[in-house]
Amino acid sequence: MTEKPTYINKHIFSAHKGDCLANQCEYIEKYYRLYEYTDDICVLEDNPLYPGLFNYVKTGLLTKEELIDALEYDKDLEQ
Amino acid sequence: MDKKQFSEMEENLRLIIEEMGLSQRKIFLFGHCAATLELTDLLEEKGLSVAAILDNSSEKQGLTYKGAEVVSPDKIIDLSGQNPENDTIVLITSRFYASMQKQLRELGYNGPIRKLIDYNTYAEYSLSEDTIKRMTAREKHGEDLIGELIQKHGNVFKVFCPFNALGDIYIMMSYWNSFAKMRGIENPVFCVSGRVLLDIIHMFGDYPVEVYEQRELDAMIQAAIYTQDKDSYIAHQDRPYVINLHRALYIKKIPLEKIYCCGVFGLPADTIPDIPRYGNKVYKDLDRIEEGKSVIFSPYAKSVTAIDDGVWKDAVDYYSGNGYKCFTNVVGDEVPLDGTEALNVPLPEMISVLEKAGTFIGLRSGLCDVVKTAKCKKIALYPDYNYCDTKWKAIDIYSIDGFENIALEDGDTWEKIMKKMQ
Repeated sequence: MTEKPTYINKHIFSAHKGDCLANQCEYIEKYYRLYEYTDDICVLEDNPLYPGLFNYVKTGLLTKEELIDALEYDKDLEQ
Repeated sequence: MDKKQFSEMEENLRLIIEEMGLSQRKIFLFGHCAATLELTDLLEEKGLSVAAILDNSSEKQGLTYKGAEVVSPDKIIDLSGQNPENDTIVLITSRFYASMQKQLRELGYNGPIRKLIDYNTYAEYSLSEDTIKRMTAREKHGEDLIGELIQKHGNVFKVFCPFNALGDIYIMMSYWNSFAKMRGIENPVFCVSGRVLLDIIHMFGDYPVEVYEQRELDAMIQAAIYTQDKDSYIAHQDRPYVINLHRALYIKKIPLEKIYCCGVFGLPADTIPDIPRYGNKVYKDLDRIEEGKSVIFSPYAKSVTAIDDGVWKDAVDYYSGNGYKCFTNVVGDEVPLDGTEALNVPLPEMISVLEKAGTFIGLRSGLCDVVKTAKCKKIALYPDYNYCDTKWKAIDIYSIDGFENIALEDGDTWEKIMKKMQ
């Protein structure tokens, strides 16, 4: 079964689902699955329906630390 | 960009010109990609020029195309003058339209921003009632289509292929069997958006395939995501938006084969990809090909930056001068290179042609994946561009086993390219 997703909001950066208010999470999740309404949210989940970054960790291509680095990487700060 | 998308871009441009006229406006394009360059050409045909191309990639900034420099998007405020609403316009042909529009508004640009191709039906950066209503209707339509699919095929496992690209489908299929075994999937039906992909899938097995219009397929995929359908898999590396594998490329170079093997399917890195066992046929006009003394050129690709014409001319001159018969593989209204004959070979027959010809030289496109098992000399040419918004060059990600992989630089001649291969 699908694991509970973790939401990383690029601006607020609330890293764990448990940290969000329950109704806030439901709202985010419901509309996130309906369409892409923002690019401010990055969801880290191990979902059997589609590929995800966890696959790279499971197969040894990324370490857990690199996974976090990949999630936190901010293209806007690159320059 | 395929023919249909080009027509959509042409029609939308015509409507914009009709609505507001563009001759008195500074035209900015956002995103330095193949589609943007095609739009620049189209504007030029209409006597319009591009003031600048906006792009977030520092590697692309400073490049020019037909006089238009690639600049950082934050330059738009300075470049657009006092009255951007009436004096400027930003045209976008990218699937990242929604985020580009948002970025421009956040920068304070208040001129018109127009989408010329609807590449991405998943995104609309709004939570207005109207948007939610439309997106809900789209999702329901997707559920209905899935219902029809189940009615036709029974209780099957749906494999969604969200993007019409030969190379992606070929690599995906080469790992499909291993994935299906790992997950215990026995009755897949593949859902694609282009008939040509059917041939690729059938090279790997006699699987049922359903072909949909892109919008219909998008709606079905959205419905699968919304309902968290357990009998589906979206087998792609970066589409739609819920798939975030590309983020790994910000910190690590991962070749496309491994992106599919490990990222898309979660298979061990040493998994051996399948090779096509079915569907390869012999080209009906094989007599035209002189055995071992022919070259098949493939200079066109729908989403790859074109290579300087001079390189192709050089290559044709070189091989013709050395007694080779030269052919260009063309599709639709593509024009053969000067000094070559046109060939229009169906994909399942391509390997028979290459093996008789002896040499294949192509712009690195999905066709290179399809012919990678051909026993002949194969050369893939890579224009100098970065893979998506990463720091990696195209050759870092797309390099292909069994080929001479050659990255092109400014001023390369065929003689220089031959030296690189030695």
